[in-house]
Amino acid sequence: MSEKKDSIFRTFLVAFLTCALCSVFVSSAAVVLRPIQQRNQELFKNKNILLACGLMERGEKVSADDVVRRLENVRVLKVNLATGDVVATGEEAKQYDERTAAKTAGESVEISDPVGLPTRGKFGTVYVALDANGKTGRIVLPIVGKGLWSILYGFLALDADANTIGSLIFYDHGETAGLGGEIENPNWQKGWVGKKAFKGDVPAVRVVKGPGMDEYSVDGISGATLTDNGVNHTVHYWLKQYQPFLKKFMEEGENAK
Amino acid sequence: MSHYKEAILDPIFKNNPIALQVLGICSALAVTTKLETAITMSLAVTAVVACSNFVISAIRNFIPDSIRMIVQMVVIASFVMVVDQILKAYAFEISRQLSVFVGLIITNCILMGRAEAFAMKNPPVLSFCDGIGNGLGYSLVLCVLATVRELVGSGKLLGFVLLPTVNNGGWYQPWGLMLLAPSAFFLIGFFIWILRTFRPEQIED
Repeated sequence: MSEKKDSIFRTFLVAFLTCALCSVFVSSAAVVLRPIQQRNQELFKNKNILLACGLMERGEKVSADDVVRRLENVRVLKVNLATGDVVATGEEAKQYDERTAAKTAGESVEISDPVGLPTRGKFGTVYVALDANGKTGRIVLPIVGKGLWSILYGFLALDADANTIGSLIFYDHGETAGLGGEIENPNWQKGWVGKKAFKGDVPAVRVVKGPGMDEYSVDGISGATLTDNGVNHTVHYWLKQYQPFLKKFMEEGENAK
Repeated sequence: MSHYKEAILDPIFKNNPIALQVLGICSALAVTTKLETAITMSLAVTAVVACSNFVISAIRNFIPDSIRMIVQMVVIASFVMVVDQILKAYAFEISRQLSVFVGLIITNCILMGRAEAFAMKNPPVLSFCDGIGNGLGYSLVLCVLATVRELVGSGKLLGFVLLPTVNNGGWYQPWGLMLLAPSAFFLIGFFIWILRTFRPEQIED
């Protein structure tokens, strides 16, 4: 038995069968569970939108229904990034998915800045929080770019003056836990609140190391210089892309509502 | 019958995987700052070690010696990935907190240790029981550590405030060291000390 068991043919056969059966097992679990996981992802993203809008507190437990209810106070705009025009609102804007558009020829634009991504969607989504009187609260811009190892997904929220930063959130990334992963740490994200995004017309807010802090600088994460650089490139790039929209939005101001 | 009972109960105190076999220490340090994550991790490890023991034992007579460990690894890794998928679907928040540690169950020495030491020599059902037993032994240590660390370190238990902390207007000054990994080392040390006081036969010279 043992001699036969160790023959080369048997060895390959067992190796092959083990791998084949295990891969079927793992992939069927992944396929069956995918819809539920996607719903979780969606809910998680929406919670982060609420968080960025200031409509939800950190650590607050909010049910799925409650998230939907609170999202009613958030206007979704689909924006042509080149001209800054709003091309769609409401349901139509919600249907738009930047991640898919960025990968579709004809729907995407090449990125020349060092954000680590080849293309972005032609259009961008903007979330505008409304307060109880229907006045504009925070303006939330989705941002995406490369850190050290991974793509960072986040939201940059500007106050109604379109310059002061209301909050910065990264909700999805694959950076090293404890180093670059600290961009997910609420205490670090708090450092962005109240900083100014633009100096004149130029995106100026950035992560810096050491002394010389001013209203445009955020304290860096030690041990995560490359992630910090990625954050800087990402934030600058998207501020630039959304600048035409922000200008128009501010000019049209109150009469647009 | 006593075989099965022994396989389940022995690893809890008599042959505890962490306290006596000294396996699986890393994850015991990492996931025990909160009781909630510790319980989830315990369930995940127990499920994986029991299932992988069962499967490995079932095919033990077919596994050629030369690729023995690789086959064990493949079986264990498959179960870990499935558990990870299940957590992502049904316990999303917790799976985010556990982040890489679920994937790292693969490297938990308890799994390979039990596969190699027990499942390769014993029939499937008994191996399954051994897996459950070792999982429970691991869970016991994890839950004790997490209870102490969460209560003393942040004044909460399962997220409920028991000792209101000074920062939140209470009276309790939390012992911050408890939230750092080294404290788990001390606590495991105390755990082993107490265990060996009651079971002197575990003392090694």
